[in-house]
Amino acid sequence: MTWQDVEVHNDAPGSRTGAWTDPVTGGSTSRRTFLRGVVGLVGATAASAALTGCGIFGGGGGGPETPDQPQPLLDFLSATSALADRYDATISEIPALIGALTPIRDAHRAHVKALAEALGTTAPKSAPPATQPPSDGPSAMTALVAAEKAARDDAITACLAAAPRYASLLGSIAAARATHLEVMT
Amino acid sequence: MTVEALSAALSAEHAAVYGYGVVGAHLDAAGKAAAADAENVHRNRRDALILRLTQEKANPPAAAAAYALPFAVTDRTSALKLAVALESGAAAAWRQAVGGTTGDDRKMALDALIDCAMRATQWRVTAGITPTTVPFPGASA
Repeated sequence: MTWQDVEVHNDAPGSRTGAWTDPVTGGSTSRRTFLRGVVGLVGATAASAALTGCGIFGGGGGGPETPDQPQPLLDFLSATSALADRYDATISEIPALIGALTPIRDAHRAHVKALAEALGTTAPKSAPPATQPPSDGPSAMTALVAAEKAARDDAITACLAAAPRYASLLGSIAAARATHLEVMT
Repeated sequence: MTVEALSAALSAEHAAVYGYGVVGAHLDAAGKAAAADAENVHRNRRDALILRLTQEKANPPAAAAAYALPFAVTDRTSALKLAVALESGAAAAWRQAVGGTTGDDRKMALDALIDCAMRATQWRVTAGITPTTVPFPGASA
């Protein structure tokens, strides 16, 4: 019963209000509409609370807040930018990896942008990494997998320690890094 | 905040448990095993949430008797697409819960968000759906 609106609008993407991510594009309907789908079971109080979260940058509650700039998250932002730089350097060194690495590099860049916006600061400039990536494919992948694992763990730590308004974004970043490892290994 | 966030996650887990029953019916033996494994994980999370909400003296939302599927599921392709949708839907609820909880509850929510995102990616790989990953699992595009 709670998914009926999904079914009704299934053939009308422009007016879709459903609960489902489109697996073909990887795009998703908004979280609000997703919850509209499931909170039918929860009741009005839960529904109104669930609907207060907004946007991918917010922490899932409360009104607009003046972003402060906690140092650990500024450091996390720099590290995320440096991680994207490592992918750039590897792609440039080993063009054969462009297909495998570009979507992941792009995700890291998207994370940099979202973090910078959430923190009310500007994204760090791209820069060549301090160390040159290995020039053979397997070694380069091994190095990136190690970096990605460390970055996933850092995101988990950051998410668990963060103020609520940053937690959802950091959680998504941790989850994204876990999925990168899924396709890299 | 915690109760509302976890209640929404519970509703999503109810839906996932229901949906995987449909998914498994259209897959081969390996696919059925993967679907059963996923269903089991969602069932365990559902049960953990019911316990947790009961601890909070909240009234855990019950499962609906049936759920309308987002599209017709008639074959392997549509079943795999539904599996991706189930994980993406649960990921969205858990992402919300991450921001609405603290401490151990947030850890549970984050673990679940990560697991749902990884399973969505695994199903996309199985189905040959690209891209296999999304930049912000659980978030609106």
